[in-house]
Amino acid sequence: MTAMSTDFTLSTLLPGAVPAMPVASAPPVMQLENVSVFYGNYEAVRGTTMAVREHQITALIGPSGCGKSTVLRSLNRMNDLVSGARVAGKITFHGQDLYAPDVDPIQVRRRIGMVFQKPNPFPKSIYENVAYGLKINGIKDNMDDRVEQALRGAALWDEVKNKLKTSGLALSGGQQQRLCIARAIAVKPEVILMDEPCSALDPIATGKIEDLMHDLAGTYTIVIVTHNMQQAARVSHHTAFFTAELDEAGVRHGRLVEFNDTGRIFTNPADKRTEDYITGRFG
Amino acid sequence: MTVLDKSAQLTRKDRGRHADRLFWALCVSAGFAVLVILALILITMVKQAYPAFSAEFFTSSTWIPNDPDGDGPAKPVYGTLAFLYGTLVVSAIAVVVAVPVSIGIALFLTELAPRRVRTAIVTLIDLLAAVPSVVFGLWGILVVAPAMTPVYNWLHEVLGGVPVLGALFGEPRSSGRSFMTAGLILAIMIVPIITSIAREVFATVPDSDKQAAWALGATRWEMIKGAVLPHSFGGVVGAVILGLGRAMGETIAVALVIGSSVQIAANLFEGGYALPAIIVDQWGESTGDFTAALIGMGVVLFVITVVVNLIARFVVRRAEIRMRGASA
Amino acid sequence: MTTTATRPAAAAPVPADLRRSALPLRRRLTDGFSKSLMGLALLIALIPLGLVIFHVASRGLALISWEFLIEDIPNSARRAGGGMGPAVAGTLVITGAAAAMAIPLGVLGAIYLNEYGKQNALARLIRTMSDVMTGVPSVVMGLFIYVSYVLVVKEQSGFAAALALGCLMLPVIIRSSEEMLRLVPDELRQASAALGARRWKTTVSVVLPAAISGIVSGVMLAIARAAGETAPVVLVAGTIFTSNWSLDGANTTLAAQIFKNAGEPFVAAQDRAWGAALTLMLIVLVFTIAARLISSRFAIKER
Repeated sequence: MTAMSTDFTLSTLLPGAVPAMPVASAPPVMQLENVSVFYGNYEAVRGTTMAVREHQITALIGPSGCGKSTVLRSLNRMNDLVSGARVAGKITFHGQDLYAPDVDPIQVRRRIGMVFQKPNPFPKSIYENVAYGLKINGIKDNMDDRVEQALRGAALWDEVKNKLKTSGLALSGGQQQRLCIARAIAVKPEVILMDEPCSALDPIATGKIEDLMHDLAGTYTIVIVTHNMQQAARVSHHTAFFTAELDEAGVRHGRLVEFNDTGRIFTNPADKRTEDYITGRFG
Repeated sequence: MTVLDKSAQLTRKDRGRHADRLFWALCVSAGFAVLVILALILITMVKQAYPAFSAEFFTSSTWIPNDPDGDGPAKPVYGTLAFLYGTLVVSAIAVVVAVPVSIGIALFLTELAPRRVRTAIVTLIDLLAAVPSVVFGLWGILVVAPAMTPVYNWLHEVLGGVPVLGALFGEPRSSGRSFMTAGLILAIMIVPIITSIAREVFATVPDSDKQAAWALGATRWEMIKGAVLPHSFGGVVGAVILGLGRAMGETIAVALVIGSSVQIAANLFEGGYALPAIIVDQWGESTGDFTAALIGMGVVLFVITVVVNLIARFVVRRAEIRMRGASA
Repeated sequence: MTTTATRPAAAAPVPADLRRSALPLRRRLTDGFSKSLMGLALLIALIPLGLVIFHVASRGLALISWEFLIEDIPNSARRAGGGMGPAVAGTLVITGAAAAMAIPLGVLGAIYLNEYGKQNALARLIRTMSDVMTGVPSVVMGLFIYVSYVLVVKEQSGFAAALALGCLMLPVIIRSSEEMLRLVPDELRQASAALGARRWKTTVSVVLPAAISGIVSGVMLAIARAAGETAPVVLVAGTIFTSNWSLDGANTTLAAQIFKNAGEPFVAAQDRAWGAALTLMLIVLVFTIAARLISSRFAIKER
């Protein structure tokens, strides 16, 4: 990765972005330009501008209701499934507008996978869970190898290799979540979105997933939503801090306060609000 | 209690307590009414039908209810096999036709239709359920049966030569009143029942499972196939059994369009008879053993439908429990 | 870095093709095909509904008039003219009496299930058996009343028909009312109890009023169903050609008359059947719409 780092600064990449701090970094895979997300007439998040860089982990943090999950779900068009949801501004994936009229959300989600807050394996066998995405994508050859690879990739293979036929629901919570990660990486997406993937898990299972995320970053680009600041500090390269603010009319909107290297955010934040939040002086 | 003398007003010795008891008793007895009625149905009917139950009642398909030659040697024969056969055939046609339609509608409503469209369609399906069965019967005998005759003729010409199908799609009757017509009318009548239960079942599929499928880049159909259907199998089976039970007990519409011939015929375009249909049809002219035989068929019908219903409830409940286990 | 070699191909900086047309044809076709099948299923169900309504309306409207609703039924099916007066009267009297019997019993039973029995063994048994009773064919209910009532009093009557319809309505009312009582928030019961109200007082003055719109709507639907039931009436009510507004003595209903006349080969009889069908449909429709209005107007907003 070091080979790829250049001296881009955020401000040269994205005119109008928050403080001009240097971000030692890989090229961006996804860019958000002035993105607002609406539910009906309610603007849940306004004016988000940031970039998601290749093979790095980007964390979205902030208090509840700040819109971090909403932003995450707009990245692979999961918000399309909520009636009345709408995105303004521009989200690009390798320069291609994700919300262009001829873009198919199904193709988007195939390339930008997702892992959810609550482990949600299908009520099928472990094997079938991993194979599901491959099957719908018409991949039929070397199924066993592909399933094994995905399970190895999710650091689950050794624990389940002898019981691939048992139900995915029979696993522990942490194992279920890794199964969900295996299911997501089996279709070889480029980006994996993780929506508070550890919030339902105990500390040991959380540690395993965090280790796994480091390994996965070699191959995939990861965006993770978390409200555990230590987790963001431990795993991510870049951190975006969101908060919820009242506008002139007294309506709450989520908005991006600061986006920078994780180290910078946690040691030398540019914004007072970020500092208050990470030092626990929030609210 | 004597120790509590000082707080006499806190003891329960006032009129209100009796009112409470009385009200409770009233409610319990109302609940009991259901059990009493069901028990009475079984006891009184079995008692009345007892003389009719013989070996031939269950094994013969010969139905000669009135003494054929006055006081001669021939005796009436009450064999009910043809009616049982008709009931099964007609219900089977109804289920085969109604199940895919109902599941399609239920999926359309839960997974495809926008909210506003959904409300409108649910109202229409409710309306379909509200049409009295006798009205379907009237429509069936005067409109559908004659209109279907040419269709049956065409099907017979096309499929009549095929080995197995040929037997099912034989020479149609000119009136169109047949197993097939009865089955089709029944299918329309059980669609709302199966649809509404299937909808409930589909609605209980956890959203997280659907999201997981979406996030893998599934199309809508792949999402349904991967996340919705596997979760719903048990519940849908229950819905189908329930629809089957309703089809078997449906009387009037079938009585009007089934063609009223006592026979066991493979040809679905032939006329036949069903258990409930023969009861209303011949009730007016029956006496003595004849009446007992009709009541006996009522008992058979009662037992079948109760068993089918219990199985359906059991299947649905087990599916529900499994679902809860899965989402916990 | 070694990982670079094993990166997925899509990670190359070439823009991935995200258009719908890039989805394999097979998947697009399956998806489209399955969606059209769902739409087709809907159509298959709605076409018969439309046709039934159309035929009943068009054939019935030619017949229906004030005279048709009050005049006697001709005692020969062949004869044209006459009306369905006795059937209209019988439908109202019999269904009304059935409702008068089934509603109090059904609501009290529902109160037992939801307020007292809850999940105990008896309540669960009653609940299951009500479900089973809902599935008992109406013709069986007719036979039951014949055996247990008509044979005892030795007379077919409107009252016997009312008993049979009442038995059919009972489980429906119990289950729908219980459902509505369950929606009444527990806070209401506790608030009333905290004021020192007795259980029955709480139930009658707080819980029932809170659930009443739902209960009424369920009852309306049960009445609509019962008004269209045919088999029990055919079995236990006998038949008449002049109006009988009492529960004693033989009677008839619209549904029974439709059944009887539909099977006749005479056009005059068939016409009367269509007229009666339209009348019955209108009665059923009024109750169904009333049920919907009541339940949507006064629905309990949340659990």
